[in-house]
Amino acid sequence: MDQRTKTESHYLFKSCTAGSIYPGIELSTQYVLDALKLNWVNDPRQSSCTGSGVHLGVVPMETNMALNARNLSLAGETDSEIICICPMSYTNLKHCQKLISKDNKLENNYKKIMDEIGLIYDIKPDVYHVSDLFLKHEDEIVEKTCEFSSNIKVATHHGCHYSKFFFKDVSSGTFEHPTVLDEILVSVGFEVVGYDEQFLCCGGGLHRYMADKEYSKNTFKEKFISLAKVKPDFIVTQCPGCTFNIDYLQENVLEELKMENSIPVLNIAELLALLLGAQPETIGLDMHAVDLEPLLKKLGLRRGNK
Amino acid sequence: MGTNYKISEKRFVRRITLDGRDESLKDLRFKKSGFKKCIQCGRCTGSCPTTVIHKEFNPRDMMRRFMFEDIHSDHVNEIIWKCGQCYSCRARCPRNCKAGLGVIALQHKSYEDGKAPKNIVEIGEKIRSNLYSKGETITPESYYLNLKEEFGKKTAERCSDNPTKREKLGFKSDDAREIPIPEDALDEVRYLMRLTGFKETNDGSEN
Amino acid sequence: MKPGIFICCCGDNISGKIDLEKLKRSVSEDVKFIDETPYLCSNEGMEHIIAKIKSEKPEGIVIAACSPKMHEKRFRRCAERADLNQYMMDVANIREQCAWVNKDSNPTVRAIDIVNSSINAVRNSIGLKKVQLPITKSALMVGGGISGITAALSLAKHGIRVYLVEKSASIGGNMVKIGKVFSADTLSEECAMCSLGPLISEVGENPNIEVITNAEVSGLSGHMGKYSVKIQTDPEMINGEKCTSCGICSEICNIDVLDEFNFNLTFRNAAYKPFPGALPSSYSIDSNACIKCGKCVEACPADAINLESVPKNIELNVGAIVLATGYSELNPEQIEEFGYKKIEGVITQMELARILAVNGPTSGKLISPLTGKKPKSIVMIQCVGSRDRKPGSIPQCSTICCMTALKHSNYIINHSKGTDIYICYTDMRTLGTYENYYFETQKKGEKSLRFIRGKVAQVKKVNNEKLLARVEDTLGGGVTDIEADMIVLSSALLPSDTISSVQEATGVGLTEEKFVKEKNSKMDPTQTTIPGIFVSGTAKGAMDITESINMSRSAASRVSEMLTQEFIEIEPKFPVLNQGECNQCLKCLEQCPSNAIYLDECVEVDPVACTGCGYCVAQCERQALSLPLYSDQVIQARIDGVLKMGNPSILTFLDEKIAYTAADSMGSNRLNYPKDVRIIKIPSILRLEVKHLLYGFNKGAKGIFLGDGTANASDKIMEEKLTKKVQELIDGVSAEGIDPSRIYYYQANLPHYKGLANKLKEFSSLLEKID
Repeated sequence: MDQRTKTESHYLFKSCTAGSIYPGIELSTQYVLDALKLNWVNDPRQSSCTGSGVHLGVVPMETNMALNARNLSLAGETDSEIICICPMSYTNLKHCQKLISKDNKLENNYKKIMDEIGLIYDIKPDVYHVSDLFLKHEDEIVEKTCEFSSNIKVATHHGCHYSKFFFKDVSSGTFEHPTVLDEILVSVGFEVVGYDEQFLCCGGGLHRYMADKEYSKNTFKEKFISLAKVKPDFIVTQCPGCTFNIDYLQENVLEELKMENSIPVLNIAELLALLLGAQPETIGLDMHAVDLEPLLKKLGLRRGNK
Repeated sequence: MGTNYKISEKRFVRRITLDGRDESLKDLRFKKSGFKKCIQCGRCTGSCPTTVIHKEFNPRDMMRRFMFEDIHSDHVNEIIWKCGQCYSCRARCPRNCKAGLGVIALQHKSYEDGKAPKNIVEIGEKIRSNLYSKGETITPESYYLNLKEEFGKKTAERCSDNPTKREKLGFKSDDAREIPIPEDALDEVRYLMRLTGFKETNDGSEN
Repeated sequence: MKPGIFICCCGDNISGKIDLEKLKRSVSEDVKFIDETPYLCSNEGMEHIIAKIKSEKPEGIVIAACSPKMHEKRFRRCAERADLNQYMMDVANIREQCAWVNKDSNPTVRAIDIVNSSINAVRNSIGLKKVQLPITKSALMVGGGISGITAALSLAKHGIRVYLVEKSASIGGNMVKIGKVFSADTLSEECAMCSLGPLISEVGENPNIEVITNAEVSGLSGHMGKYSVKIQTDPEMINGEKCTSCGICSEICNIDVLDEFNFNLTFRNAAYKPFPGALPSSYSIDSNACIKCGKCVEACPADAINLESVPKNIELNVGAIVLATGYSELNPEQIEEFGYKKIEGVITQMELARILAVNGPTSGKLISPLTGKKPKSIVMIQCVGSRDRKPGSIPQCSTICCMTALKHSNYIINHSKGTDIYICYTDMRTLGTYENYYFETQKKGEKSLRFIRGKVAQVKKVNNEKLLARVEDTLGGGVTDIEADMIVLSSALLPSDTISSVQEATGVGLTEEKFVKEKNSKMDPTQTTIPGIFVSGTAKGAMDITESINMSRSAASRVSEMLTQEFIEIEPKFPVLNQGECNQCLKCLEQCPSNAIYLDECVEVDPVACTGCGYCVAQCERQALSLPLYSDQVIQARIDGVLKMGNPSILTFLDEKIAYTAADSMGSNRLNYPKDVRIIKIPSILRLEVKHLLYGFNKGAKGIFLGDGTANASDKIMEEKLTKKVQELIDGVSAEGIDPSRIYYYQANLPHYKGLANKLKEFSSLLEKID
């Protein structure tokens, strides 16, 4: 277990979707955290938040709460706040935390259960998404960012599970129009372009695609038409699931719409890692469905600070 | 509350009776959907990306069904699986209700009762088994679909080599974690799963 | 008589456009002096006017300046201060209606005509005085519910004597009966009696309030400030002074009467006290039910009973009246499909209120009349008789029933576990903070309260054991039969029966539903169609207790404003009646749009009620009525004045309130309108007679434009009268061989002054085509 104890510590909550499809997102996140010299915990004991199962109705709420009581307590044990790579983990952890802590009966029950597995019950750690943390360290990111070409247009998609369930907790902007990514991107020097269907779901992640392809494809198509209209150079996401959907579904949609140009997609961690000096191949950018090479060329990243 | 619906076969009249109340759905999420606060304004439906694709699904109507426990029909069992779980309904609800949360409660009941659609049962088994054996829901294998068939030629070409690429990055080909969950931690996870209704034989370890 | 003329340069707003020298030369013959000042409205200017009047002593003056809407009142005060009768002055509007009119190449021509008109008017004016009317400093409150009580207390605290007349045996009204009242602030149900009881006692203790119970208004005469009211009381069989409230009379009495306090769910005796805490606290005998057996007389230890008492007539002198006659719940028997009174277990919200009240027929236990047990399921049917255009129902929303249903539901959820409630509604209307109450009730009712959007079509009884309400769940559930063992009808609020006799006695205007009508419910609420008579509370329409209290205080404030003056001072804008000429044809009385004319041996004009429109004067065949400020002489003199120079003219008569102000706005906004337009201000088009128009045409007017906007600021009656009047004028003029298209009528609208300019242009070009 990699634990460096200091005043502020972050428990990196890993994502099943990222780890399965874009391991680079996880590596990028680690890269950025290190580049910012932040204390963070990489705890292999963590289990899935079970989100993909919960939101398909195949995992009972009790299991969801039990596993997340454990996950929260693990973070509690390391005295860290949780930073999630995946918004679905963010919502699920927060939801379980809220349900349990607001109900004495549940709280006593999970206290007992944590005791049975030899863990001290402590579900109080704050839960954030990694981009909340990135936004907090915006100035340091700007300071350390490599030089890159100007006049690059970006569109953002924050993901429903970040902004819609705990709609009050969006750390910048509103649930209707979150601007966490927008703020970071503008600070580092991109032009952020808005689009009509900003609020719309991207079509869901891999689990949703497998459950209801019609929903995923149709919803993504709507979203993509709106995105394509404003001609961004690339799209920035903060959810591994959304990244998958926007990345992998593009080829078919382009064909259906008889459109030529695909739009590259980067997760915010991937983009920041690049800007902070990571080599594209070390953060798995070659694993994306939409080729990122032209974008990388256009960015023209030059090593060394701005 | 009046849950006993006697729908005559010949006459289209619903009857809410005085006696014989059914038990309400026990799932915490059902109650937490907040249907009691719902004023049926329809803002959820207006915000729902599913409704425009599957017109038979309507979050406002789901909330109405929750109120009257009109949730046991085959029709309901069919439509609940259309929800994309985006929670747009929740974000915009003037009363802060969560139609989507009630829907998962129904989905889960349907799944438990063996009434879920075949593909859900298949994904479900996979996810549950992943959870039991690795502590993960999605694993790299879940994604090794027929890429060409699913996502197109170019994507297949670009991504077919991803299993190798992930290994180069230090990830195993069959595990989402860089460092797989340690055995003792997995034991804890399994213990919790069994405690909350997972049966080792048919859901979890599949042995 | 030659008036003095003051011309204001208004900086160069006036002098810059109008050739003042030419103006002076042109009118010099007819005037005593002509004076020119840079700013007449300044203090120096006004002091100058006073000094000049004092030194030159003209018999009248004309002030040629801005619109009279600006400074007329101040100039009138100048005249008074200089010992000149203030009505011997006229303002010639040569700024807004002349200098400021855009594109007028020669405004001096128009200015001369305008000043000539004013000179002529002053020469034909007579000195007038304001009228002062005495005031009786006491008020009558009709109705002793929460509204009447509130208003009475408020007035009494202002030092005004109040007579509180109540038709039943105690004050308290409906509020004492409803047990619990809803509160949006505390999100709870509060005890009605606990809120009202202290107020009832306060009424009893206040020396400025005299409570007269078992009484009704039977007649009214006089006018605002000085009314005489006749009150008739039931026979006072128990002497209130002697009665010690021991209750022996009631114990011994064996005549059963339906108890209105419990909405007829129980019986009381003929000798009774409506409820503990009633005011007056003495017992009463119900004269309609009493068989005069005499048992109570023998039993009364205080010797307070006299069964041979007769009804009493009382006469009260008051300055103002507040009608607070309240409401009664609509009897839903006539809406047969709900089975009220036919099917046991179907009750109204008022009856449910009594059932839930601790001092009610079941001592607060919720019991279904159908089963005699606690109901398992209650269906509440909203909008019974409200929002319904069937006979017997009222078209409007009764406003409180949604909250009443929620209040009772909330109470039942808290106090009666195992009772389910279905509220079948058309729309849930919980305005303002009441939404919080709705929300909380919904939350509390998670298990037992459901809302179904749909109005119940029919109630049936099944197998003598349960009820069935059929409703469409319009939000998707389809036709639904709800089984219930109690059905509660949220019945409409209707005006109380008393209102008919009050209307008969006072002549106050009522709406179609018999609620008391407000003259202008938007801008002048509480004011009825009769000046000095106000309305408050549910007599005006459905409202909740808070609104009722607000309205009562508002009405009390209106009364207080009036009664705390020394006297009522009125401008001499009302018609004067020459009694010698009057033949009491009563046309004026019947036609007056403001009910200001009444018959009290001879025809009288109530100067307070009169708006000075002049309709009666125009109608009076014997010319017994005259309007001094707008007499025939004055109108004709003004016509003569504007036409004196022989310019081709469109005589433009505009009502002083709306159309004339719109004309000012045309000038202020520098609009353009034909140079031939000559405006003459009148109180209303209703003042005009055919002879005035003919006079204008004979003197050379090429067309007459009639602009009136009063219909836009009042009720339908005014519009009808105006339309009729215009037709009359057109017919009269054409009968004399004049082309009726030379008359043009326009219903002016204050903010739409551009419309007036357009119509003037349109008329002008029409006239050109004729010529």
